[in-house]
Amino acid sequence: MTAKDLSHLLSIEAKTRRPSPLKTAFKYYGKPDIVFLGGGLPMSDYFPWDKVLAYSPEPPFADGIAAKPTEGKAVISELHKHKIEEFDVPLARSLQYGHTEGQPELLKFVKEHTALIHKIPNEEWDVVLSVGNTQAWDATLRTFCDPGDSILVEEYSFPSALETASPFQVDYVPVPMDNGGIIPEKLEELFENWDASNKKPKLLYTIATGQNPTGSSLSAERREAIYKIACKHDFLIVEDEPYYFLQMNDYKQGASEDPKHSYDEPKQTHEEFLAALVPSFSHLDTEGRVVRLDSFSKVLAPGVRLGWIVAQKKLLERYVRLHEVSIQTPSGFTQSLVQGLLGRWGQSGYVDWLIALRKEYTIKRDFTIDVLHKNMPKDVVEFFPPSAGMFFTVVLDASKHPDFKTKFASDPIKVETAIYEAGLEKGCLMIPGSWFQSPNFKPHDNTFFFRGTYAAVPLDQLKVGLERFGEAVKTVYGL
Amino acid sequence: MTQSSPNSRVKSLHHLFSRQALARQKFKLKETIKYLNDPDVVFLGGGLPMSNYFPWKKIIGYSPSAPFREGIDNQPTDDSEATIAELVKYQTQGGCNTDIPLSTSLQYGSAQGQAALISFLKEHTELIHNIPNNDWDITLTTGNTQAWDATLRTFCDPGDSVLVEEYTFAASIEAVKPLEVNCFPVSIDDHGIVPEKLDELLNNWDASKKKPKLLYTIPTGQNPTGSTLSAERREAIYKIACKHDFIIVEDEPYYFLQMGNYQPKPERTEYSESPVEDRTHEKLLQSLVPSFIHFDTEGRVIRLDSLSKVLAPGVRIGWIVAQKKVIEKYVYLNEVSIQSPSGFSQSMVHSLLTRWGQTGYLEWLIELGHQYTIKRDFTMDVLTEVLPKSVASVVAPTAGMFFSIVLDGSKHPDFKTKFESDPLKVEEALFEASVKEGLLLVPGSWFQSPNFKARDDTFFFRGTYAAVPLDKLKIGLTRFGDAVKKFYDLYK
Repeated sequence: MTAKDLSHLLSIEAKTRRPSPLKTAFKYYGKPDIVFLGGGLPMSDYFPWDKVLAYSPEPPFADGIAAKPTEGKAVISELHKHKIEEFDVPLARSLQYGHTEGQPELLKFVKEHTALIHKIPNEEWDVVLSVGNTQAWDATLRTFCDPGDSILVEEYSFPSALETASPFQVDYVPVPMDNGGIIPEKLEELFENWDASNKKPKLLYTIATGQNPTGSSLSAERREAIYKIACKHDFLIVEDEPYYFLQMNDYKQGASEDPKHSYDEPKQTHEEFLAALVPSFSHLDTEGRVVRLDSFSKVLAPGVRLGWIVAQKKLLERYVRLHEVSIQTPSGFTQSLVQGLLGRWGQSGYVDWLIALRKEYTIKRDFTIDVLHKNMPKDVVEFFPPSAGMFFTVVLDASKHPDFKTKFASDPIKVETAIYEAGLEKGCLMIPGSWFQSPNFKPHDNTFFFRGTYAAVPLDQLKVGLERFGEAVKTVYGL
Repeated sequence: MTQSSPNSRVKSLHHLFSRQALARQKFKLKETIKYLNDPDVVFLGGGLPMSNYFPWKKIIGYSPSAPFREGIDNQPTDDSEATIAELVKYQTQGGCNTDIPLSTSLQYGSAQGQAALISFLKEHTELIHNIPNNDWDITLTTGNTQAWDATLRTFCDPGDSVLVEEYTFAASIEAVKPLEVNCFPVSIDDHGIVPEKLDELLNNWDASKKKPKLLYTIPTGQNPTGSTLSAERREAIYKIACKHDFIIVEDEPYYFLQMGNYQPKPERTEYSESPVEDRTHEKLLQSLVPSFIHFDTEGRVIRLDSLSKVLAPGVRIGWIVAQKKVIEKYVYLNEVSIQSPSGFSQSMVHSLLTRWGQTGYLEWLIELGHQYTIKRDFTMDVLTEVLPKSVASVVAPTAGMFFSIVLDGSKHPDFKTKFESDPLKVEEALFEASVKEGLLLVPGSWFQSPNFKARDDTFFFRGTYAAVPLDKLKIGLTRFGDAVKKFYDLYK
């Protein structure tokens, strides 16, 4: 399938970018008959790292991925200035200038992984490394948005991403959601009443799996419907997917306390694991209008500062031009260490890691929802077990508060504030949902919510926190 | 360098920020951070994954040891002579307790950078530059390319103007153009920016147009010309910046590649014969040309420092030195772009630099300067022999990795005819001729600023002695000499 030409969606800034003329001289680099005195590359003899050793856990992670560092056998990556293993990135190269797209060995691994997981239905896709999804989103805005352009965003979204967009003077168009994420019919409705004198939106920004803040995940059916709308109205879909591999097994109430329940059973093969993953937008992308932002932050570690952008080649080339005059390329230590690890794990060992990661988050999610069942007053509170990600939400109905119309002047946000403060007083911090509203947000009812996470604290603390929050809700509502 | 009283208060540069920078502020979510370590509050606010999931238990780096008497390109063959940095995941595992543990450096953190690394770099900056105000701070960057891009985003709106050296680093110009910012060239000579020309340019600025926001300069080992601004010129330029109210952005990746004046043989004393007692830290500090920030009483200098040419380019770590209120804006921008440099890089660099200490690091810098001195001397020795002086000249650089060979287009027999009196046509033809001869130097016209105006019939080529061993360098330069002689028909 050939991708569509989407160069008309590029920003003026992106269209203006030219390769540095010096890069054209580089075609002579490496030619044995030419002495190349063209590039200001310091000699790798001067790089003060002769070798780097790294100790990592070994697949299939029988002790779990949270095993203590001193436990278990280790996978040892030995990185030298020259190559040891064929798949290693030698330090003499990774600590040198060059390879803006990324070191070839790492790109190869990431591409193979992407093909395995997403099976992209066009022939023109490729991959470029980023220093994480924050930078990748910033690069995306620079590549596609001019001042005055519109972008579609989930009506509740990641505030940092909304903040990143604001200096670009874009017009935010919020898309209504329910507990399954973006509602496709509502998205289509936005276009039915579109003011023809305004340019149509350039792109839809979505955190499609384990949405931040709502914890929702778009189903395969919804993704297909949204993709069709994108084709019809000619916009890009930017899927920001740091939580894609935090997809969890189905929730069963009480499993967290059932001694007979095992998180290791039934054993899943790699094929079964992959088949159970919700398909990404990239998986549907016949036209080449999806820009996928992938990240190692929640899968390996945030400080690795490494991700990758999947899109059609012609659009990615504009990202490369931008990177040449901004980030250059991710840290050579990061590239050599991550590729050293992934190369030694192999695609199979990496899937073992992802399966073990999923188990950790499933355990935490199950525990959390079981605790919510015990502590939240169900007549005023609703909650849904997330199928992916690290966030859960507790949704409250403000109109059920006896003083809603009086003390709270029929404003759900006033009730939200009262609960936030009561929560802090009792000793639990959950984030008010109103902090995640997109600009131009329109409320459609009297509900409000709080976002919590089970990612960051041990389970016993999580329990204490949610008990306190339950108390706070009951206190405020007078239950 | 002169000692200055660090008591001056910096001026506000608020009026020079771009619209984007003025709009940047702290996140609401970050306000909750104060509860993160509050023992009475269960913090369910942040999406930080737990560090027990980070798949690195321990990382060990092997590096050369101070004082590098065998040279900085000499890696110890025996581990017992190496500087070994063992980075553990948690402090409790042992390891060195001043290191940044992996559980910290591989976690989300401050967009300014890890505090321990910032502390080392601030001490280093104070030691070298002696900044004459109390209001400065630093933030980490992922190198000077990113730092320059961040600078443009922080100060320039579409339609703004910036001043650049009339020949400058081409990639820096490529960063400016798509932002609809105008570049205007400042005249330079063999010793860099000519202060009188800079003043003249600004005195005659079209009053109906906004004055330039900033001057972008590579003052030490300039790319591409190889020139270095003297202390006197820097002081003069600083005064002009105060007078016309613009910022000086000093892009300084070559600052520690300073070499002193070139002396031809046989007057020259080879480094290996110079007494070890002469290679002191005091001598280093005295020999370094003062930076712009050394004069910065008003807080209008933004210094871009980088480890790329000092440790390695792929480390992707640098730092910006500027007044606090300016650094704050860079940090807000980092929060919505790069976040911060790689935790691996931060831990590896910090653990190496702290094991060397400020003293060992100075020793590294001394030996680094020495390596480049050897290469510079060798290059100049060869060029003196092979370049035909009737048509070509080179000024010995005192810093950096570049040298420029200047040629006179009008001395070519066919200048007026075949080349239509255009020196750039001569340049192009010579470029092709020298590639045929088997040598590539970069044509100077590739580095021209937009709005460049030629003043004479000269053109130049930029070469570097950084990237090849000395024997190849000699072969290459000899080929160039031959190419020039053939091209200008000098064998007759």
